[in-house]
Amino acid sequence: MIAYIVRRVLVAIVITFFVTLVTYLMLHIIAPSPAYTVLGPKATHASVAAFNRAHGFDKPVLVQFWNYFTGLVLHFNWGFSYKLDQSVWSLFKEDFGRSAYLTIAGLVLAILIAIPLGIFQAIRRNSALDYSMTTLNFVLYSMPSFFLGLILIQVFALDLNVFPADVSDNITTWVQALTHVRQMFLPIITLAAINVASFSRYMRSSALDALAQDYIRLARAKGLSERLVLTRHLVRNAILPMITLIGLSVPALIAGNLLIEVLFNIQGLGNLFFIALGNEDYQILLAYTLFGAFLTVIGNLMADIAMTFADPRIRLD
Amino acid sequence: MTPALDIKDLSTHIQLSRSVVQAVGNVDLRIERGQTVGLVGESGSGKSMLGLSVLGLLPNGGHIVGGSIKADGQELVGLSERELRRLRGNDIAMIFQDSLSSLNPTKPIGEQVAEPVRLHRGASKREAVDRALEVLDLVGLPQPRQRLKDFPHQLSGGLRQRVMIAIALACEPKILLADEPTTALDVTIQAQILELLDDLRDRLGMATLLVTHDMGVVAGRTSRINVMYAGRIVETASTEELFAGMRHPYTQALLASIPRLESDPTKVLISIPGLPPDLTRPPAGCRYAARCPFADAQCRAEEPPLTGESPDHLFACWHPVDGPVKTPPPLIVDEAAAAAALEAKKPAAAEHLLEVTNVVREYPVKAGLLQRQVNSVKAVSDVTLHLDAGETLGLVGESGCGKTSLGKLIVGVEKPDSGSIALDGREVFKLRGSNLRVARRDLQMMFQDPYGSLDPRMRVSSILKEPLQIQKIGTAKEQTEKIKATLAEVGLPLNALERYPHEFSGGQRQRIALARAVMLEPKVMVADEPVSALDVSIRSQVLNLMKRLQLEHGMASVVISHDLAVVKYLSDRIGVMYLGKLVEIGTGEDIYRRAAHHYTDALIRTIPVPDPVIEKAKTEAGIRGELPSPLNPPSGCRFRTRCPRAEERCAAEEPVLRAFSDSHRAACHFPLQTPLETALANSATGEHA
Amino acid sequence: MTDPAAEALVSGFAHADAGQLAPNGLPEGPAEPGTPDGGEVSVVTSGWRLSLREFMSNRLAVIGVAVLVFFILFSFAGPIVDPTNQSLANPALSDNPPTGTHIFGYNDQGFDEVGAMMRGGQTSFEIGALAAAMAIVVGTLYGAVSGLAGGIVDTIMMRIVDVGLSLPYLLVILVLATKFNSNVLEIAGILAAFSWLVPARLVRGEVLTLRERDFVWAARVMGARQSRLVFKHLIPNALSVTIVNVTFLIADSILALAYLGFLGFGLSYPQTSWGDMLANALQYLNSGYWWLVYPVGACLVIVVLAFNLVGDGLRDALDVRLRRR
Repeated sequence: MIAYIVRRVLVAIVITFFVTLVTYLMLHIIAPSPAYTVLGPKATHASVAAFNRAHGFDKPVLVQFWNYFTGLVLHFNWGFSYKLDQSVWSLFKEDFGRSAYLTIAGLVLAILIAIPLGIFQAIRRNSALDYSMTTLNFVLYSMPSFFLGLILIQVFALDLNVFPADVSDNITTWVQALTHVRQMFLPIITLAAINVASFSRYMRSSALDALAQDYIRLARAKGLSERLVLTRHLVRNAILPMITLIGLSVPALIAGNLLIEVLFNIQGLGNLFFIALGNEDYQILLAYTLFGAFLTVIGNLMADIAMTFADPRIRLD
Repeated sequence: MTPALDIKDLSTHIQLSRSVVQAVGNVDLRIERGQTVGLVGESGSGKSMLGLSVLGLLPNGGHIVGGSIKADGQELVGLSERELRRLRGNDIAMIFQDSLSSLNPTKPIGEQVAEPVRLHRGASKREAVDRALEVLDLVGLPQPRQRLKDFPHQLSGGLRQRVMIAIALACEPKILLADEPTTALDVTIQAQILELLDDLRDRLGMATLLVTHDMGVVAGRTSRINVMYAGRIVETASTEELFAGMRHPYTQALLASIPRLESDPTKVLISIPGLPPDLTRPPAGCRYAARCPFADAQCRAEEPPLTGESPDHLFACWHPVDGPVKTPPPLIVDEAAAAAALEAKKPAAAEHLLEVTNVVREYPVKAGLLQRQVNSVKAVSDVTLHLDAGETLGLVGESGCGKTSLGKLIVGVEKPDSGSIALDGREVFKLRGSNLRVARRDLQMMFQDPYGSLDPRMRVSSILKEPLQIQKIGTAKEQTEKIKATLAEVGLPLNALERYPHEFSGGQRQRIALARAVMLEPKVMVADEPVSALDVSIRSQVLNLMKRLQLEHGMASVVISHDLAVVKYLSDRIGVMYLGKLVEIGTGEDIYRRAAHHYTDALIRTIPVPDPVIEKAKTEAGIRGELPSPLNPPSGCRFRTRCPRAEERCAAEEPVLRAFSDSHRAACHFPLQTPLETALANSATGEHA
Repeated sequence: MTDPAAEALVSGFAHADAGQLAPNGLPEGPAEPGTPDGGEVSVVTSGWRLSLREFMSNRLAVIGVAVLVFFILFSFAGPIVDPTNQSLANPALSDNPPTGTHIFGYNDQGFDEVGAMMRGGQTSFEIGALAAAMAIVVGTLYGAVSGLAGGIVDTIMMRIVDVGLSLPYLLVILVLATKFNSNVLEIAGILAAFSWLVPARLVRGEVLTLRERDFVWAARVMGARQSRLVFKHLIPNALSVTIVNVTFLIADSILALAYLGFLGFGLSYPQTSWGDMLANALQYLNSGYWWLVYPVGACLVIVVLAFNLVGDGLRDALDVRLRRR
């Protein structure tokens, strides 16, 4: 098992390297140098060349990449936003907590709802409740997160006026995000609802698969009550595939986080990225894309490692 | 005395989305205490549903529509779920077929065995573990204490089945329902498990219902047998009476359709035409009428009641037969055509048509950080054999013995690691390009799974034409003529050409696969477990057909099977494999009457024979112990770990194949027969003296 | 539990329910005197027709098809049937509420909202279909090549897919859209650039299993060349994975397009998509101009939902042919 985990980590490191390379090259093709952004569109060729020389943008692209990569690995240097005249990391640090809070709360809430819901639907399959939940899931699954957020804003903020539509003014630090649950309520619910749709859909079919297994029949033949069959034999086996799914959901979480931060105007990493898009601030775009990629790789890795602990068939192989 | 289990007029239906399956209809069944009763039927006969009805564990949509089930006098039909639960696993326990999927993969086996004890006996955790140890020991799990924390996938199939039996026995049930308890196991392991069930029944006095499709299994283990067909019990009698004097034509035909070791291979097996009826729309009269040679108008209109002269032997038939089929008809083959076909396939260059010499095939096992090869599965180890034109060679052995790998090597879709395989003097796997393509004509293969071997997206006409197209034989018109002729030869109607594989039954698909294999008039056909996926009543149809086609086309065949009786029926010579080694080879009679290797001998004695007289006379359970891993086979003779005669020499020195007659060779240091060389030496010394 | 509509709905999510009991065979007639000894072959609906029947019995999937037909007609034939001013801005009508003939009123440009929805629908369908087509062709070929090649080539090709799947897709699409969002083709290209990865992986997995299936072995034994294996056996059998995936890819592409539009990186003016329209409408939430928000949002959700329903229906229908395997 140790060998498996070590090998899995090594693969993740290799993938991380290539992800960094691909992302860097892509951004380089789109925007080779921030010179015009910094110096303005009317800058002379000479001043652009001078800027490029001064900041290393005249070197061959692979050299530039290597400098960036080593800077990132050795000094945790994520680059410098010339537009905002600040290091990218200092910008990240400011916004990270709020985004993490929103995303993790949304994810945890989604898992807590989806797992029991999916199992419940599987047990009561074909009941009226199953149909209505299935339908609701299907609709949510097909709904862009921002549109769901928009509806929630209309209903809960504008019509009923129970939650604020906009959280930017109230929450400035991430500690406040923790304390001002009411402000964060709608964004978290929106993010959670979108994830519940895909998680519970998957959970339902995974639980149905498990229910059809012979060991469930044997458990019943032992005389266990349905509740015990469920808790002792079904739940663990049905949840196993969810671990992988949750590990794979990082890119969707990042996307959801971005859309919801923009919609609710939350000062988080998503919004930072969104503003950078408008500003053509490619250093931030590069850094955040990489950041997201790293999280994705880590998510997959953690899911695989978690599986080795959760599933004796892998652990003891 | 009240019987342990008394089922009366039980009917169970299963509601599907668009139809109702009448799975069990008006069934009566009784089991006394300490008695084992057999319930025999083919797949879909409702035998499993009957077992599940007793426990109230029917699949979704399944429900009992009428009748009564009394366990120890207590009525079970209509009991609340709660009351039923108190009985399940406590008074009535069940064993299922597939031990891998029936045990929870994420729970240690100790917990799984202890679970019913805690539940029904209110035992403490400690007491339950102690009881689990006790039963695991009882079912013969070696070192149970060390294995309590093991997970199911860490145990072999035989040991897992023992664990499942331990779960069933944990609360000392009065009734044990065993649903195909040994079907997934190898013959030698099957014998051990059946012996264990027998022994436990005697010690614990349980009433046991043995549900199976295998007549051999019930012959030696039951005192009474119920034959089920299409949801009905069609005949019930004491085991001896059922085999010796059956009255229902289905029972008669079923028994006659099973190939036996002692049966005459020049006779055909009786086969039952057609398929069982669709239980969503059962026929009005006798459900067997459509397949019965004795059926008349009454049979088709009126359902026969289950009656008989004595209450001990009941049958449901208007025109009962009297005992087994006396003389099976001979095999009818066009002799002249067969001789001509054989002549055309004689080897031109070599002595033997096919020569396999010192062939080795190992599959690497990779592990660790760098995925380096750490070991290998020794699938085929140094096998030498030959095949003559028109001859059929059978290969038998348990799972993992390398018989399938050897088959793939022979047809040249896999390459040996070393050694040579020559067809008429040419090594096929060394050929390239069009030479290879043309050489492939002579080597065709038939696969085990009739569902997987036909492309689901091709019509039968395309499937049959494909070999001709690949080999560019004939014009389109000639190809069509050829496939029509071959289709008729395998007994399928012309309208089959336009259909897709999923529209055929398993037996019909195997006919199509056979037609495809003979389409190129191969010199050698390899058939890998050609009938093991088929129901008993369908097997003989396919076996008879294979036998006829082999002769008429003059094909040499290699028939691979775990079932020695099937192999013996089809083959001229038989090779016995064990863990990658060919341990014995000889004619069918050499193997069956004069086995020299202890493995062959034990195998023959282990195979359950559908004859209670022979089965009940057997005193020992055959081979002890588990099959060693093909990753690390034992040194010297690979069978020595399970051999009754093994000595130090067997571990130190690998036995070579020695001749026992011109046709008969075996690899054993202490053979059961006298080797030819010793016999010659003896007679030589005898002359001197 | 036997209401077919209800079953159809649930079948969309999982098909494990029916697995317990295998009915014992086809409704095959008895062997009549004179029939071949292999028995009769019953006439069962065959091939694709069986799939079609299964699909048609899935009520939700059929509704999905109807919805799609309606919206495609609405988007492409609608402007011909009901031509409205969609080119000259008319400030007088800006944000006017619905009337009898203009049921969803006017947008900020003074364009008829229904007409705008038709234009937005056109781009959504075009981009969705184009992106899905590009992704499925590239993905299928890539996956098939990787699965067939095996060994080190396969490993490298799949690691490339791993790298691609490790990128947070929305961020990358947005970055690309800062430069390439001028027309339908460019946006479809951007979306396809990331959506071929999943089909590639699926097709490879399918090819790997198919390669070891007995019927492929049988073809090898007959001497079939690699090209025959690929075109006669592997591709036709992997096709169902591909077909099912196309519908999901279209749904995903339409959603992704909506995200781009919402964030302001959709098609450049005057082209529009449903996402662009929703982004513009956001500011009207407070003003109560519901006709600029909910009709277009509903169109988006219903069309994506319909594609997902059709996809699920197709998956089950194509499965049924192989269910008796």
